Amino acid sequence: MPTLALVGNPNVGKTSMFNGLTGLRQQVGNWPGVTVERKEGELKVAGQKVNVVDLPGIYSLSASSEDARVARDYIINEKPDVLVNVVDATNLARNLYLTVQLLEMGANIVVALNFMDELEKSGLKVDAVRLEKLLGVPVVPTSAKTKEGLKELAKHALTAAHCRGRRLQPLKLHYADGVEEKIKELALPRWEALKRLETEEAGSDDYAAAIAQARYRFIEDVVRQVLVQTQDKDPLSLTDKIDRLVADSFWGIPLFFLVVWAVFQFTFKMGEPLVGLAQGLCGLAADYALRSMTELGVPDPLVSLVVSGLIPGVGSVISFTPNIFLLFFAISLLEDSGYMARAAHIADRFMSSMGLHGKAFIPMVLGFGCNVPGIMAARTLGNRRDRIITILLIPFMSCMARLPIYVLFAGTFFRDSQSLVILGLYALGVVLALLMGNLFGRLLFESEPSYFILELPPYRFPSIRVSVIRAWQKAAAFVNKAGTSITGAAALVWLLSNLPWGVPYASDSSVLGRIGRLIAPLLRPAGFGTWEAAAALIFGSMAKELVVSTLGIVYRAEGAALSQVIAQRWTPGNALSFMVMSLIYMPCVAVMATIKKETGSWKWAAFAAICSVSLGWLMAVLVFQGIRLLGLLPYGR
Amino acid sequence: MWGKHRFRRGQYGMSPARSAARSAHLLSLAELRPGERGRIVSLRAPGPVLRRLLEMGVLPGTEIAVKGVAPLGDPMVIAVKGYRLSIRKYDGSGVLVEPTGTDRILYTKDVSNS
Repeated sequence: MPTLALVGNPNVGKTSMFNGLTGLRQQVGNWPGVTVERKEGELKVAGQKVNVVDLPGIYSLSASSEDARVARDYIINEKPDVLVNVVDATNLARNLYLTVQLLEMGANIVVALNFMDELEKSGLKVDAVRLEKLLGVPVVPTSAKTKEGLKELAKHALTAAHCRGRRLQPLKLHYADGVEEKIKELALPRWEALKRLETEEAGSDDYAAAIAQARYRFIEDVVRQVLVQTQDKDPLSLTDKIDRLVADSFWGIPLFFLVVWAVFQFTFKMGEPLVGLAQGLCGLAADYALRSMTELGVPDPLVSLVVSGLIPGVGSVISFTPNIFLLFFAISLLEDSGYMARAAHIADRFMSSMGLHGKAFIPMVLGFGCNVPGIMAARTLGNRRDRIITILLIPFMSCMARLPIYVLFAGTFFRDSQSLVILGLYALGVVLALLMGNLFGRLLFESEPSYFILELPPYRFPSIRVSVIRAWQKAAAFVNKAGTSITGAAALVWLLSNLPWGVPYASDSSVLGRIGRLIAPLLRPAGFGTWEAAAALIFGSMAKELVVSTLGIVYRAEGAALSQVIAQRWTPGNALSFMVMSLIYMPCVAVMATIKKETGSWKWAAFAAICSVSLGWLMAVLVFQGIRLLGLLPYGR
Repeated sequence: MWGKHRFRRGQYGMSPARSAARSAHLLSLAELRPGERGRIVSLRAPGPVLRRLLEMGVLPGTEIAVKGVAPLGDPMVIAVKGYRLSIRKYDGSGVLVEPTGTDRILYTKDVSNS
């Protein structure tokens, strides 16, 4: 089966093109060893099946980013039969830069000239026939949105794929004398020599500049010959008009917050009934399993494992999916409309103070709802450095699951200043993120500079269909990739709280209780060195919601009664340090699994865990010992 | 917190080349104000930033125009090769530009310079 690879700049409608070509027959995964998404699908032309691979959106093959490396390696090593280079006709010059690089490699390409309809509306025309002559490869005008030209594109691609035996003459540009000399010296195929000069050779900065200049000179010449102005108007006048409002020095910021607020509400408020439904179904499933398994005479331990171990575990996986689906639907709309780039543009000044990229703002805000979708949203960051730092910082955003802990303790001990205490905890998380962001940037990614050079694409109507597909793929990938780890962890905690068999669930004689008693001395400097607190924290690393319910189980009390027990057993001093600990101490299992999934290695998940446990412990100890030393609050019983 | 002067100085301070450039009426991209146009004369930046600028079409000989500045004063929006690019002033401070004129200001007044 011939392989067709799609390659092109970001924001050129490559995803629409991929969906248009393959329909819903696609698989989403990761390129091995990196955090870049890999999509594959199948296309049928003239009775023949073609394998379609979507390469990451890149501006050139010479960048040092993961995306560019993946695309480069794929083209060189896997040698697809044909490359379809998707080009935005409304932004021809910059898009042709990648095309020129591909032509220099002698790659077997077909150019898809996308957004032709949009271009014509804006009073310009591209002479596709002339472009075809100048580039020496087939050029097919398309509109991925209306699916115009896709059939023709597929036919051309298939024809080109069959001609792959015929060696294509690589494009030969004339470079500055210094570059040409060097190319001769290297005695490599021309494109390989160019690649070496651009990236590896000493003084490559100067070579890279000279090479880029010569390529753009060629491109300007091509564009001058093929671009025809049919009406006298500025093609970007509408985009500029919208930007006058969107990036306005006064209105830009409230509008930005309105959009962020809307995305947050859409993701979490709209998701609430769906999450409730998912949990309700799990409850029903548990009831049903309990009844039918008892009838069948299944032994008790097994029933318990399924009913209170596995089903709740699966339930917690499912309960994340509505939020992930809605979030990615919203993000996809924002990205395709062009607002996402503007949001990054507006937030960048603030985010750069944390050593972060402007695009990190929305993932961080989403972290306040739930860290899992926040971390997944960090995918929108193109740069590995920025993506990983953002992912590591999101757990400092206090998610909604941590709120009940604050409500219980602050409500018990700080009734008059409850909201102030809770607000303070949220603020503490943000301040720590700010400090850690700078620290991570300096310590872990010192060699990779952070920069912000971002295309602001023209505003376009997003496609609902593309957004739904994208959101669906994200939710499914989450269930696939993170689901097993989360369910496995749920089963493990169930096991620990029931062993040795026969002890009351999560009591101090269970393995969990014993581990709790083992850890308790370590927590003494923080003021809560009891096995109950330790057990609550261990359960909390499953899901932060479980901290309060575990305290309920170990103190055998609920609601107001639990608050009374807490008032007797705890003090304002250790309640405060416990809340600080709960804020920071450990990303929950779902977050860990998501970090692993998004960074491609357990290394970063482990790093996040170690980092946050030590920082959480340190902060809790500082808070408690500070209170004790200064006598600010009653701290002992 | 938003210091007015934080981004005024170039990334590389005032090198001799830079002060010579200044006498020839060259400015860094970061110093251009909304509405001003120019032609890029030279480019200096750390490796990855330089490659990014090059692939985005920000290179010597290219005409650019500053379209506006973000509400908090940074980054700035430039028109280059017929599209819009948002770029941190810091990252544009190594791009030397020969001013070629001024357009009607299109959007956002430059709050950082006012």
